[in-house]
Amino acid sequence: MENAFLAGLAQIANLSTLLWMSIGSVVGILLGALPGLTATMGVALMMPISFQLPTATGIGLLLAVYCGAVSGASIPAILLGIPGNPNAIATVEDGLLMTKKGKAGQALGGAVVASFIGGIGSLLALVLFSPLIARLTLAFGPAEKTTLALVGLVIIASVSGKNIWKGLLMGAFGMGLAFLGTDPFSAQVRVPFANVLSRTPLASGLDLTSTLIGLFGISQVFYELRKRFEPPQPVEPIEVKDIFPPFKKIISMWKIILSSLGIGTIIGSIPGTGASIAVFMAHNSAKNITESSNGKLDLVGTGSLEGVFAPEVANNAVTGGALIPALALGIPGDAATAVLIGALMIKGVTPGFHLFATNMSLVYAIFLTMLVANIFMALFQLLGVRLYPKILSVPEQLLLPLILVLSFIGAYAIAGQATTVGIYNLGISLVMGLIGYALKRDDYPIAPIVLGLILGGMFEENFRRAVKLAGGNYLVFFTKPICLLFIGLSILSVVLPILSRRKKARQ
Amino acid sequence: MSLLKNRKPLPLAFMLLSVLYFIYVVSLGSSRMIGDEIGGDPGGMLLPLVLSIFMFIASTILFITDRADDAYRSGGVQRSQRGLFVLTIVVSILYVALMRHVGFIITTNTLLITLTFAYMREGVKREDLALWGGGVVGSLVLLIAIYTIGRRVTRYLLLASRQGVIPKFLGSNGMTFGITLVLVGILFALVYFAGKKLFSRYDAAAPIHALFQAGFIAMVSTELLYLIFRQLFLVELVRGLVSW
Repeated sequence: MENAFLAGLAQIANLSTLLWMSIGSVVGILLGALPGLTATMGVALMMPISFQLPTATGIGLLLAVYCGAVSGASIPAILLGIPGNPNAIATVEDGLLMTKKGKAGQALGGAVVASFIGGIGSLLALVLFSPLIARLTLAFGPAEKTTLALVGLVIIASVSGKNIWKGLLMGAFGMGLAFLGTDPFSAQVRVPFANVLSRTPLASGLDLTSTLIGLFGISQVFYELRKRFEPPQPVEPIEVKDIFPPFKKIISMWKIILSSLGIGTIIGSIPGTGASIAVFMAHNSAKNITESSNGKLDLVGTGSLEGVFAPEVANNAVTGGALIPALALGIPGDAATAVLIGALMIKGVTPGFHLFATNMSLVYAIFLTMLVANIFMALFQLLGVRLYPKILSVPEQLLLPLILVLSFIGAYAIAGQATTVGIYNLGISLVMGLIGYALKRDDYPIAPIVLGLILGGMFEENFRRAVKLAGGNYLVFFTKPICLLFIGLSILSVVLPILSRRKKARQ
Repeated sequence: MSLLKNRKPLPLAFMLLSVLYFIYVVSLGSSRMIGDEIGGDPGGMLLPLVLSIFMFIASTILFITDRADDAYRSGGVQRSQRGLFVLTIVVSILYVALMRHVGFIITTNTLLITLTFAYMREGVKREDLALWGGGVVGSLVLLIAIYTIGRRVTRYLLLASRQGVIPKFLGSNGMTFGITLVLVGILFALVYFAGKKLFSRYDAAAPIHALFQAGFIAMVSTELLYLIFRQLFLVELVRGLVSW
């Protein structure tokens, strides 16, 4: 274990990794700060660069972007009342009020400290729980793995959108895309117009990175183009003094910190839920805590540091929480971790017990990069507390073409030396960008497509293997307790949201 | 006609897609696992078939239940943005189609200057066409000149380090990238200040300023992307017409 830890440390304790992670952290904060640009998009755009780096360095870069983007979203939420992405929605209320009271510096500094606490706290949970959960998967055969893929897919499909049918349809669409290419057991080519396409790179299926870049990067450019460009809102100069909230004040908020940390980590570890749910729950919980504090804490909703702390602890706690099922089971907690899993898979690393059993040094390297990502996030956000608000004055007109080109080059670069494959990847990313735009416009969730793409192959391979091992008996999935548990969870995750929506509609 | 009233197009598209997928899967037939002589393999057709049926059911339910309301109708591309939206799609398609033959440098610079200029002018305007054409040509000439200088410096560093004329570490990927980056950075700074001086006599709201800004961003971004991906990560970016 000690050796594995040292080997993991050696993978990241080099100038190149630290440099790339610094770049990732700053890029993440900037992307998070720009309204409309999400952490998932940032991670997807950086994937091609991570592909060119050693595995631990590449994952470190992506984690730095992820943590930076989640935290950076608080900047416009506090200064302008516009959340950089949905992760900071609940920060708006108290953050903006603090700015109006002339306490913008303290709100920004408090958000950074809170994000750091959330990130480190959830990292501890990740370190403690992911090896244990991964160990449980030792008991999983093909039948259990099939139902595990099913439950991951169904949960994310049922909770990630307003309409459950849209989520399920997107999950099925993603699986359909995953089935394109070659049959894993017979090598039969499964692409339409096989006479033509079987001679192209499409014969081996859709390139995952190009598909993700199209769905999250290019589609966002088209989506932002729907409405007239708004001139950037002016940002008042920030007083740098009193950026750090008093230590006593932080200690007095221990209940809020612990409850937000717990909420963020648990919600993050449930596939498909994500930070936007966690921040509201943490905000609500903090409201209750401050109301029952007999005046010891400032009330949430009145421009208090408590109201900024709660959602900011929670949204960064989601990052570690979402990595628990991602590393232990290969089931991502949210869209950004789905992209991270994609990056690992491109590197030939399959999450799950196999990773923990055979490549523990990489697991330690991932844990350590998560720690460094959080430190860098806090460091760079505090250092640039006066500079980052300036990014808010960069007009959309300049950013959108750059995002489009970065997306294209990212999709192309993943092919490395193979220019023909690169050109096909460009085409895939453009088509997926247009599909992604149409889906976003009609309120279809994108995350289930990514899950379908990632879990489709696992589902098919294990399904066929399980049935084959059972001698053609399809009832094999109903004879094992773990399978029954997962099937039960899948049914519940479909039925419960439907019942809850019906109840709400009746009320 | 009443069946199609207030319906959204996407569920219909997915219904059609699922039907086509079903027909395709059936036409493909079921492939068996290699070595499945004793049977038991459900075959490669089963899951795609179930998936296509599920997609059809889900999209049919959405077709019936998810209707277009006023909020939906106003959620599309605004009339003022339609030109830019169509331009972006057309330019993107041309970018993908022409990359192989024309090359990375020319297509990327043209895409960037075209879109940035059009977005800054908030529309595709007939009176801007000549200016845009001049901007594309001007930025391409400048960019190719700077690119050529950068390439020469890189080649010199690689060759001289191999021959022992300069220390070997100066010929490494990172160093050639760094030195070329600094050099082209200085050249771009000169271009920027020269451009600023040249166009300072025009009114601040004149389209020439938007064109200069768009052209400068396009040139710097294209060269920077080239240096990062080609020189640092050794990605084979298509050379096309700029073959040196």
